Amino acid sequence: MDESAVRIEELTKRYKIGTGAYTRVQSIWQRRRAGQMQQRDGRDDVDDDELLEEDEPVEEPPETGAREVLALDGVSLEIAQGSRVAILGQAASGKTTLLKVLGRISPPTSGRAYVRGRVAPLLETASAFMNPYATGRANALLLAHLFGVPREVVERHLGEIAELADLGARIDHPAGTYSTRVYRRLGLATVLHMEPDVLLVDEQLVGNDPDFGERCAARLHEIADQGATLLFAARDPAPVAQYCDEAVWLASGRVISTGPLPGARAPRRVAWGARAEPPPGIAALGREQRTLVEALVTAGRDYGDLARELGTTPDEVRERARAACEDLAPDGGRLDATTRAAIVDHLLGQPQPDADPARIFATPPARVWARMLTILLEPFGAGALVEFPRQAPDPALATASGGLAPPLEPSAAALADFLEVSLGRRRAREAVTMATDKAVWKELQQVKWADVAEAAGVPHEEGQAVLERLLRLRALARMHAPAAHAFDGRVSLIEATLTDADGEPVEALPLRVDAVVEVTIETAAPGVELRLQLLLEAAGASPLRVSQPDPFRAEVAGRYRVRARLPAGLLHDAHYTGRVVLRAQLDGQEDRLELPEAFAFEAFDPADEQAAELVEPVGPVAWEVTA
Amino acid sequence: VSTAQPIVEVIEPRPPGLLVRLPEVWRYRRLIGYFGKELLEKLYRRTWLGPVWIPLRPVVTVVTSAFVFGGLLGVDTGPIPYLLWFLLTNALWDLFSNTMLWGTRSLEIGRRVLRRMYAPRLTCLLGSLVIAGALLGVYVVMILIALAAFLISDGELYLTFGVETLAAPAGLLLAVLLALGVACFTAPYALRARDVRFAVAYFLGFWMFLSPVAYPLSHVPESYRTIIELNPVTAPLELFRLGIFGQGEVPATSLASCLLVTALVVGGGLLAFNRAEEEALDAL
Repeated sequence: MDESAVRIEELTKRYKIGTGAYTRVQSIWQRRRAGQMQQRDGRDDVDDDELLEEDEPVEEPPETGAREVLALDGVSLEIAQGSRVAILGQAASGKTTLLKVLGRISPPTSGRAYVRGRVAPLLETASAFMNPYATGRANALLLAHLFGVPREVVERHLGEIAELADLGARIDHPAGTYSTRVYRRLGLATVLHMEPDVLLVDEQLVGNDPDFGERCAARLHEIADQGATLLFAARDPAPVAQYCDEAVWLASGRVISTGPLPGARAPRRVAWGARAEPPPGIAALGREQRTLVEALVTAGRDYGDLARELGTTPDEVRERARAACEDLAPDGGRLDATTRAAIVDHLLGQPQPDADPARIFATPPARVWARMLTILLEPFGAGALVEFPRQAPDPALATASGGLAPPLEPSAAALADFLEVSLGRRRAREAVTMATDKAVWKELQQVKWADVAEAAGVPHEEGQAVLERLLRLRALARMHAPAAHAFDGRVSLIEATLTDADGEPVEALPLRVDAVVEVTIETAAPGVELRLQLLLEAAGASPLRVSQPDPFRAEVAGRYRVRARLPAGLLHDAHYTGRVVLRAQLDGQEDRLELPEAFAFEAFDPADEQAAELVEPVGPVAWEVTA
Repeated sequence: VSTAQPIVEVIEPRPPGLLVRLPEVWRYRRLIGYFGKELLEKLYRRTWLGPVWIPLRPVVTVVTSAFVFGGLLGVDTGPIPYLLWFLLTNALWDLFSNTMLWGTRSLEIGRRVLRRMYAPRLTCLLGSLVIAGALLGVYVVMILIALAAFLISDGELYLTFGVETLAAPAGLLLAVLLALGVACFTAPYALRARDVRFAVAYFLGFWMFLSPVAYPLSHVPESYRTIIELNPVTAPLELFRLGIFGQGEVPATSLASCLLVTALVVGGGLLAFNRAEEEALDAL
């Protein structure tokens, strides 16, 4: 597999629901149990014996008719050694499944993957193996044994593991005495110290424990700097931008795009030479220019440093760097020299003290040229340094863009800019409008891309490359586009997640713990009256409808979080699907928004005493709104 | 990061079929010990005496049974002292019953891990051998102590060594295979309802009295002898006794019944277990 760290060929993963004789037997039993639970009036009165026996009688959800879920659908990827790749996608896009397959936690249904070296999966699995009766130290060594890591590897990091997990001397206490959070941290901290060649990380695990996440960051950077390959599953690029510089976008189990990670901040530490082959734009640069840009971008050197080394002046280095960049993207000629220079300085992370990014990137041509340059500099990691100031949306474009407005996501803004420059404002409006229609966009892509390249004044091949890049951006924009809109997009119901009491998203929920449904709503207009309703549906159990008692008024435009705290005892052991309905009222008009399958989870009888300790009596649903 | 050239691992779909399970179990062999330890800890979790319960259980069983059968009922075991005779017989029976009982419970106890990651479920089932082996170890120590005590008191070792010694490991192997075969059938169902393990526990209690564990085969009345001889555990028990003491009868009907039943149970059990595993695989 050459020098790739991971190669994935047509990987497919299919899950089954409600099939087979064993499941049928269990299903009959479970339906009977669901009936018993309903008779209990929602109270949690599991007898002591069940708790003592750590019983979890039902392993799978009730029979809902034999069906299959395609979690991964023919995924093919090649990831170079030392890469730091974000696997991005919405819930149920297949990102965690992909990591589970690569971590040998779940076998693929078809296809094949090759992984070079020791793989450490920073997934929830680690804590499943831990023994609450053994000490933290013994558990760390146990995990090393089970993951096939030499004992001495974990032994020499025990101090760091204890520190990272916030254990200190308690590492010699039984793990069952730790809080749930520390218990989980111990598993994750141990995996982080297995000296992996490939590290698989689920961002939710780290990101939802802010204090732990901060401490993990240093270790993750250390692992990446040692040359390990990092695969980071996340819903949004922002939290992983500090670790990753490349991204793979998944949707419905398919790779919809690959490319640099927007907003990545960390400069690439491995030279582009480690990649299979440089793209044509880079190859065309002179050796001296290439070295110069590489030194500036890859190694994070500044003009002054480099000037001293080369025996010249910082201004001379600046001029040469500008010239190299202009050679890369010659179509910047329509911009004046000062703007071009300012853009290059900004991209190379060396802006003049008086440079104002808002002014430099004020015009669409400037933004388009900068983006094209960014794309061409990507192999150097320049994309990691680029941060465009957020532009105020053009009201005309915003209205035309429908699903992408307002406010424009950075990626959608890029699309709008590019189209405006290349097609002119009128056609841009039409194109953005058409872009919301997949079929029309496809036609636009096939028929008009040559016109776009010509209008933008770029060579044929570069135009095509840029357009492909924009398609990826569009995919990203769609991914970030609110899921449902009312009043021409002025109210959006963005997402809903089920979390535990600590705010950590959960896919499986023990029955005896509180849960929180967190709904994100965005309003672009003030004074909207909003009222939410949650509907939790499960086969074999009565649907649970929870309505917000009083509407709330979003006085200012912005993003709001509505949390509904579901007390323990409301749910039955079943597979639930959550539907969210939002009723919005503005200026006497009312609209109804809905996320039909906003989240899904498995409610189950707790498997361990950790969950049993959290028994709380059933109480009313508590609602909370935060801006 | 390791300095040696890292190995490239190939991740492929789980191949269907029974024969491929064995190399797969070998690849995941680390988990056998892990699951075994989980089962072993079940013996003494939430107890005051802790791991002391591991040797205490067989000691209590042997002392009480030897008192009742050897003392009160005066079961005659020929030249071999009843305590020694029962220790040996019960060692094999406990190996058999513990393998079956804990094999039945193995998936239920290992489900926390099995539901979170793929591992061949046979590794979990084979974990029952750890607990059965640990208890057998306790019996071996008890037997050695008893042998030393009788050597001192009676001046006789009671052990025989010869070709028939080979019958002892054969008896052990047959008992373990038979128990694992039954557990292959029961474990997937025990995962879903506790009734199965309760039933297995009661059935084992009844089965013990139908087996020549507390009494020699020669004590069985003629009218019931066929039933006892057809019992598939009779042959392993007799083979074990024959191998250690050079004393014991292994009727041809017992041996044939044992071999036939073991072959059927192991073959059918593995097929059923594999089918249950394939059904549970990737089930959400």
